[in-house]
Amino acid sequence: MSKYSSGYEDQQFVAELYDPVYDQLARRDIELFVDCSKKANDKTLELGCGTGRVLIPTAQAGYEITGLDLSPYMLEKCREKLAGQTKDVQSRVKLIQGNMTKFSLGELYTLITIPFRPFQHLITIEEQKACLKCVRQHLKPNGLFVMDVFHPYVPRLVDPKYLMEIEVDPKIDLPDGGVLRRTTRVAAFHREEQYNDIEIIHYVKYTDGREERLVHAFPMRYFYRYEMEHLLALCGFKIVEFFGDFDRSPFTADSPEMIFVAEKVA
Amino acid sequence: MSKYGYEEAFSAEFYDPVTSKRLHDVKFWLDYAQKAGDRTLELACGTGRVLFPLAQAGITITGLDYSVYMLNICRQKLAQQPQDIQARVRIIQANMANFQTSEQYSLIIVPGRSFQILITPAEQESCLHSIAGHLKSHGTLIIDVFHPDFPRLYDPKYLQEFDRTSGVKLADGRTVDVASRIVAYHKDMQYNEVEEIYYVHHKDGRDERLVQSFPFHYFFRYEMEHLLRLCGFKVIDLFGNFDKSPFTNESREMIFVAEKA
Repeated sequence: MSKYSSGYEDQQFVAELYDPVYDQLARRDIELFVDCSKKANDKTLELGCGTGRVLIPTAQAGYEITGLDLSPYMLEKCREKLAGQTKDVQSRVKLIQGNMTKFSLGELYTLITIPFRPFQHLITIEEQKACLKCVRQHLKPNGLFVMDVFHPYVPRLVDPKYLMEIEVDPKIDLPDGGVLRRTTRVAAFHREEQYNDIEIIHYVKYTDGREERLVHAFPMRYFYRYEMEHLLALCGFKIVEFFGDFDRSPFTADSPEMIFVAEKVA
Repeated sequence: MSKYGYEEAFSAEFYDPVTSKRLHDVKFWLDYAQKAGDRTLELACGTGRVLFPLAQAGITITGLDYSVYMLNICRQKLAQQPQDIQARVRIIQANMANFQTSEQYSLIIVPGRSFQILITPAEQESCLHSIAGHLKSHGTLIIDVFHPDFPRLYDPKYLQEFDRTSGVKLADGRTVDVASRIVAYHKDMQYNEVEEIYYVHHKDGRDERLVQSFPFHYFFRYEMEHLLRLCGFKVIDLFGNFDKSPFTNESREMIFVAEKA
């Protein structure tokens, strides 16, 4: 895919530990994306659907949704969770293993979403443009495209203190009775290409007393406001709304997120 | 339109004395002007810091600037040049965000980070459209902006004055020091409000503190590449310094060499 490797699609523990972590952290983005599907009131395509954190609540709310993800492990988890859902919910969901920079599904969507920053795994502008080209090709003329990336916290792009491990989640209970602790660190700054090498470090303590340290290392691209606006314009999109958080508050200097709502330019 | 820097008479008056050693970029601009071998347009030429060395080296050059004070000094300096140099120089007072000259150029340059006084994407795009309208089909555009020194985008220590120079002696006996400070960070719109503070010590012992304040946009690498592309340009080189070294993590400058796509 590119010179930048990511353990995302080939390391099983990433999928194994994803739900226990994010169920507990309860990210506040689900409501916004479900609401977008509600307004679209038609088929949604979600890129980077993972284990279905947003996809399953969308289907539960009554909307048809197709999820695309690169990782077979994540999709397997998603399928396991779907199996526990009602037939109705199952019938609204389609899952596809694929690459968000080159997919062709033979269908058009009224809404395409990229929730929780998968777009930041696209390091080069070629990959980003390829993804946006695919999005544009799959979007109906009056459809909407919604994606979020983080608003960079500038010290994390430069301050050497972030090279040390910082505890992010002190204690997460695992389904099998084990306990997980997570730290994160920046392994390297690449300001000239606008990405950090990130490590998320998992300390797992099993019920039998065994301990393990699992590192998910990957490059994470960061975007700035006007860069993103120009990129969307270059790829044939017009921004119709721009939020700084999932409560739809306006974007400010201290906003944690950059949430772009865009439509296709004819 | 946003408020520009250099609108005050004193910042024009002190510009040459405080930048007299700022020659690090002149050879770079001269190389490109010589390669272009034809008429060059310099946007935000100011008092002619870059314009005169180029004209003296044989380049036919038009300088454009918004500040009447800057251009007055530039014209005074021009009047002292030999006839053949005067013949190669044209000076125009205009807004770089929207200008119209009667000429077409092989090379258009925006030295000294002046592009950063254009705060909004609308102004930046308008400037680039004006440039595109004046550039010959195989002409070159070169824009120099700083590569942000990241702590200066958030660290409160820069709200205090920093980088104070040691006094420069003026011809009339006054001494001038310059310091900088950031008044406010606007991370949502990618600009800082900046002050340049001039401390003037008069011969009679009087001290004066004069402040030039202005907003300054900061650009990131891909933002600039996309912006140029949107306005019909293609980046052919990106340098991290005026010695044409490649752009890296620690580069001080981002120098974009572009041509019409």
